[in-house]
Amino acid sequence: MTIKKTTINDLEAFIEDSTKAHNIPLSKEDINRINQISQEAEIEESSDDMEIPFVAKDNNDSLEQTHP
Amino acid sequence: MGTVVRFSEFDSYLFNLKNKGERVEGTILDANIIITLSFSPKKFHTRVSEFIRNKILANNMNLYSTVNTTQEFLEFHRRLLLTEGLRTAIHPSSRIKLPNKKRSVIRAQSSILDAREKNNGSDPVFYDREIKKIRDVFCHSGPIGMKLWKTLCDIYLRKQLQLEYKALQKLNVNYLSSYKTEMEDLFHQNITWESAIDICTDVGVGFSDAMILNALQSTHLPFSISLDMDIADAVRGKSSLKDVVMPDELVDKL
Repeated sequence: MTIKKTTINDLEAFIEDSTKAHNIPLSKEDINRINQISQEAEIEESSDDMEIPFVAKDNNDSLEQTHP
Repeated sequence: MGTVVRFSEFDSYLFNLKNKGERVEGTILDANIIITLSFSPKKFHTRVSEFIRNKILANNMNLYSTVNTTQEFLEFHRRLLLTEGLRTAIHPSSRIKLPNKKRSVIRAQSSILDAREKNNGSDPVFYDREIKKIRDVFCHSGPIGMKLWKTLCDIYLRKQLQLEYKALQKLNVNYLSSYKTEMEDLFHQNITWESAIDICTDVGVGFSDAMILNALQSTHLPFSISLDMDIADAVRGKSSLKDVVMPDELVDKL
């Protein structure tokens, strides 16, 4: 192995390629893929909201008593 | 004694080094220099890229860094890509329709980031803790929430980070190791944790900075280039450390 030498072209290529890497546009397929799973996740979210929390019946009830 | 050298003073600084017979075959780049080169909206991008092009590469100097640099570079781009992807996904013009709770948490964290950008001129990049808050809402909502998060990561990160890594390789940075045969001539002592701890404990600088300063001390290279005020403070606070070269605007703040 030898010591690598950076040229001005290498520097330009690095800047250009790095910029390209974070400017890749999303494809239609990517968007559809996200939206399909999002629809399922929305249902999952809604069902979480519908879960009935434990409510004490009176002052003597406690979580310890009902869930030993 | 180490000094903090301004970009604008570099020509005379280099002239003096050469006159004193110093070896100026290369320099150590802090990770923030490489990150700034790679992201054009970043403050100092133009100044740093012109400096590296016109003052370092034009003077036939090689680029060196520590092995931590790749990790720091990829970590910055991970946060940047996720920030851009998630913020774009909740933009009113986006065709992506995320579930309500997921949109809300992204919007909340994005508002915090907006304020930070506006008030402090911060980079448009979520902190890791902000990404964790968003990820928790996805991953703790059930298996489909987890699947959605993984899909977003796949779409926003997988190809992009591989390309960022390939781009970094094009910069031809040499990763410093006193155990590489081709670098034997560059070192006058091994890089050790003991000496890094010594630098850290002397000025309280973080270990990624201490490793840059420590690597520099172990080689014949006369200076590093950084955008980190901590490195400048360390150089000013510990007389045995070597020089750091920085943009004028940062040196003015010292």
